[in-house]
Amino acid sequence: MSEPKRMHPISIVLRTLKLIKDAIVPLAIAFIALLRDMTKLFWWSPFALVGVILLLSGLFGFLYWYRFTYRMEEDELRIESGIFVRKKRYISRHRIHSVNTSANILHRLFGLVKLEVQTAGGGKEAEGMIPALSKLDAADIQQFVKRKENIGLQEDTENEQIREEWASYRLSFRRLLVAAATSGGTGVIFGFLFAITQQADEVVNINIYSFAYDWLSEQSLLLSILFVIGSLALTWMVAMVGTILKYCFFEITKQGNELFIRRGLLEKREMTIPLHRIQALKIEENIFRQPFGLLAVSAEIAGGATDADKHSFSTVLFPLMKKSELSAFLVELLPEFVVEPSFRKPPKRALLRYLFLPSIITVLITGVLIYSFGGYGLFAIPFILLTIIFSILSHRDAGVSWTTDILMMRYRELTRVTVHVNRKKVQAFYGSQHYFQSKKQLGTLKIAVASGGAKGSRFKVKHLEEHDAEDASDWYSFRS
Amino acid sequence: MKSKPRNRIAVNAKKVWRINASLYLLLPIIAAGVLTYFWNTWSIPDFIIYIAWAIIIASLIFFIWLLPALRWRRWRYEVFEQEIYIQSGIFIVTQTIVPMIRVQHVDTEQGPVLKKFGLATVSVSTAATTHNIPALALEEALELRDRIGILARVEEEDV
Repeated sequence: MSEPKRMHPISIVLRTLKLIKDAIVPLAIAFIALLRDMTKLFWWSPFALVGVILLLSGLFGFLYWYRFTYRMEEDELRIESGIFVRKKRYISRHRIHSVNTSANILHRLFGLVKLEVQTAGGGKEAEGMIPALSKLDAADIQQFVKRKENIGLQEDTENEQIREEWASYRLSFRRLLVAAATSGGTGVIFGFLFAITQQADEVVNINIYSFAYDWLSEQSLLLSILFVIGSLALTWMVAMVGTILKYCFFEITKQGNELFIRRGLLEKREMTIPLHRIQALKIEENIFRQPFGLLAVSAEIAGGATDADKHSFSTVLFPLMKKSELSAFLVELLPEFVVEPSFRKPPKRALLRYLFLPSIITVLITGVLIYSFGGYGLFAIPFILLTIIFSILSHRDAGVSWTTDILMMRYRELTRVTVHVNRKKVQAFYGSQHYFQSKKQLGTLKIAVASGGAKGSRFKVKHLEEHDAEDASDWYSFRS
Repeated sequence: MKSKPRNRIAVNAKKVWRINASLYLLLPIIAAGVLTYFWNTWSIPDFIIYIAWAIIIASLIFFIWLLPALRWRRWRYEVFEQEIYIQSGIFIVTQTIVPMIRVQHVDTEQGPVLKKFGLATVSVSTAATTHNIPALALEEALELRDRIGILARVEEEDV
């Protein structure tokens, strides 16, 4: 269908830079080592080394580009690459779920994109990748993959009509700032813990250098408070900048049976998510957002995330919206998931179960801390209180609800999560009970969903009323 | 949920688990034996030897005597036309429903110990999970595998 094509020549530069980036640490070490040990005769050797490495990187960058071709042939996208070891990857376009593009600063300077092809196969890496090509060529590939729908539906006009039905949501700048300010939930907490451990380290040091002990212990309270506040503020800022870079110009559009997402300030990303690939919808209200009635919407997607975010397999569908806007958003973009929930919640007697384990664990940790650091360990006592509060909230928030097709599970870790799953997308359904639960007629529900790698994802609601858990599994059971 | 799955796995499963557990415990037993042998030579404190053997005896009782029996008593399964229903667990009893239309493939496996008792494990995989039915009589396992294979052969939606 097309001649083998090379990438845009700029990919030579991109590749060369990547090779240099990968080599920079060992290179720097070698450079410094040579610089120190060289006799005068070979004073030029470290510079020669750097020169050779740069040259080699350029050469390999060129060869990589030269040997990398792609073509569209016989309904397949055929990518051939590799300088010494040839790698040929042929992907049938019928197996391609989505074609995503992204562009970092260098790409954008030359109007190029990086193209990634996603199939159902799991794993964090895309199945097919072309590091740099012009937007036009990328559009060609997208067109080539899309053609399958046209063949399936003979009537093009009908198809056009479907295509024209679209809805679009954009993240306003104000929302972006709010999202950024409230996103650092885990970041702030980790920063806080980090600060505490640093503090603990310092305490140990103080004990060792006992001369300075008196002097330092006078200062350390003020110092440690400043240190904690400082590191909290710093992690918060870092998280904020990260969120702004990531979600700037966020826009989600529905076209026919696909969601189309565009986002990013420095690195622009464009992704398509076919609706049928969505395994579950996740609504997250973190502790900074919930009090203001704000939430984030994401989707669990089959075969790994379409998102570049390596830490999570879910793909953000909208970074921040008001609770009151959610139903309109779902009606327009994901009508399948619009449901009127009536949660079946854990009974009062389950509260003890929610409190039991987390409290024991924090009390034990606090005990150990007090034992090891004496008075400083007392700083851990507020954590016991926090644990108790979170346990009570977890109990209050937990629940399951279902309609004919959609199961909703709500639970809290730190963030309150509400998961919507179509019954058809649940791969396995678990009901479990341990000794203490059976004594109090409580039960735990868990489902497995085929998103995120080969092992899928699990969602769990603990300590529900036994008969509610039984009803839920009866609802799921295919026997009745 | 209200009714338990009807079928139990082979009684010999208990023996298989016991043999496996013994094999696993062999290493700590040897280690404790070595410690005891060099008790005087290395002047090891008495209490270490006592604790080591106490732990070993306790885990012998627990892993070889109690656990397999408990595990076997919990283990049940039933294969319906539309789904597979499994109950397992020792302290946490889990009942699992795996719909036939979600089943992607079924395997049978047989390790050396299972083989000695003429048993095999059936494992059922979906797009996200794998479920084992351990220790069925070989004939039964093969039959079950084929049956699930046929029942699962319904037209499937792509994930």
